Amino acid sequence: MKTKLLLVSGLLAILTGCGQQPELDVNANQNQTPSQNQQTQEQSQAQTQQPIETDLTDNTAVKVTEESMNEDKLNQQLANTLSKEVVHFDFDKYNIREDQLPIVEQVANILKDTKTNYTVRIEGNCDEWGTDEYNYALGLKRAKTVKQALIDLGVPSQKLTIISYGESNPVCTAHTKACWAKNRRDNFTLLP
Amino acid sequence: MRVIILFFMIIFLQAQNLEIVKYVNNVKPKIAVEYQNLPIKLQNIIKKDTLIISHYNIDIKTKIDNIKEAIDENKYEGYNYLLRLDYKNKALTALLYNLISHKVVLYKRYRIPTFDVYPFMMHSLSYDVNEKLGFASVPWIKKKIVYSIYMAPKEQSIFLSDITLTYRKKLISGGLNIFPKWADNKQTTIYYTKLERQPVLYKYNIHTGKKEKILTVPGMLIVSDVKDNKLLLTLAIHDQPDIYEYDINTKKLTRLTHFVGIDVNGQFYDNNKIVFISNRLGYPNVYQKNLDTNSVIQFLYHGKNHISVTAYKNKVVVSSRETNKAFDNNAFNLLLVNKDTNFVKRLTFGGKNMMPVFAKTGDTILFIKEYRFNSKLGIIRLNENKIFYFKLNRIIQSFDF
Repeated sequence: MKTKLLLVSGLLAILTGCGQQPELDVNANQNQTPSQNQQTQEQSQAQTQQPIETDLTDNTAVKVTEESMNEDKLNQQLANTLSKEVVHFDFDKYNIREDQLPIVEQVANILKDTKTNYTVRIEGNCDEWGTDEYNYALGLKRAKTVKQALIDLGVPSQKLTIISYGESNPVCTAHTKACWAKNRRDNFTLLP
Repeated sequence: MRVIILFFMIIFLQAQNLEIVKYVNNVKPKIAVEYQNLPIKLQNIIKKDTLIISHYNIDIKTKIDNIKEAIDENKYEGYNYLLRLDYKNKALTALLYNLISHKVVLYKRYRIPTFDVYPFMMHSLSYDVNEKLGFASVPWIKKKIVYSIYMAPKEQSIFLSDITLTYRKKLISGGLNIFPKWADNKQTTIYYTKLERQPVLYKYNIHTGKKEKILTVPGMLIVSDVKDNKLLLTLAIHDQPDIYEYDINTKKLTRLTHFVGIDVNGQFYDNNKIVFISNRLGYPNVYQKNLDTNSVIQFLYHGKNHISVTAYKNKVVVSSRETNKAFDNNAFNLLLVNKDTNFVKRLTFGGKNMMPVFAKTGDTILFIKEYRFNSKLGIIRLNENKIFYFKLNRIIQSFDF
């Protein structure tokens, strides 16, 4: 019986010892330079917490970098998604057409679902008819109408900004009715 | 036999609306031109100027050996004046001789720093000749035109030209540079908007290239009119296009209109008023605001779709969409309205005729015609009942002169 107890105690002692020592080695190998390792061991012997704090700082730095990379990727994805969303308007109008409402709702859902810290610029555009000064105002009203709709759908107003390009930013340069219809639009651009 | 035609009379037609200048015996004064050295380019400009001014005729006759040689008046029976010209070493010498009174009425030398600015030199000559003949002054012929043209999507550059668009110089390029307006009467500086992250208003010296940031606001920023140190701007500070007055000296910004729709294209009018375009009744039309009383009234009751306006005393010119068809060829024409009589005269036929601007003399209007996807600078001579065009193979976004 005594022999059995001694064997169990010995095994426990070996297992405990084996479990602690490699853990220290791994930490030292992964996160510390040899000199730091030596210093850590010396300070550990002096029962200070300094080496552990150094480890935590390093880990935090790694984490921040990973998060930043993820946000860039998310922003890129958001920018790509938004660039495909276009709201079109009727000639000389700035109210949202019924058939364009699902697009506005889609943009609202995208913005509400995104985890990234963003500012989106709504860009109003016009066809080539009318004077440019009036068209800049018309483009601005188109951007404002969609901005208000997005706010009504739950997008925070401080996340949205607007600008008008009038007729200066056509996506279609042919002089046809189909082309003019494509140019009467709002685009969405993610601002850095 | 010399034909003596010294005076002309003006008769009024069409209820004070249009003044047609008529000459005694329906013949304008004739000027014979002799030249010692006059490149064809210079000849072309003086011919164009004569057509636009429309007060006299010229006839480029013969080459002479020396501008100072004796004048043989017998060669020019039927002419009223003899104009002698000599261009050399970037200087034009002009001598205008009255064949009726036998007197030299103009003897002047015009110097230019480089040959490419010769159109301005010839315009100065035409201005002086017109003055010496005693006709209504034509200071607009010497003006510089500044305009923004479409280069590509999100790419517009600002250019400088003479009134015939013969001289062309790119002033500002890179990005969206729009709505240039002259900042001073001497035409040395311009205001223009650059669309950066937000619209920015700059003041730019065309001689030194010095650029000064004046104002930046979100959404929209356009200089619509300039009067001394005050600017009429269309701004959208609250995401809403309204008209503001900005004092360059005090940097004070005053909101002049408050409307939930579109207010745009403000123009100073009659000392204490502005006229502007608004869609208050559901369609763009011309309105007037009295800056003393703050009252806003509809300015014109003719037509239902006016997109730009210019006014001089009782004369108002609007660019008006006359048909219900959105994309008709004659969708936008210029209408001259007499505010006193409400008489309306159509000034243009066909194309998109926009952005009318009165010359300070009130008898001439410059505007842009878009036709078959090109722009033309149009010059309307109201009293002569004539329109002249100068073509540009690009679309003009806006202009000022």
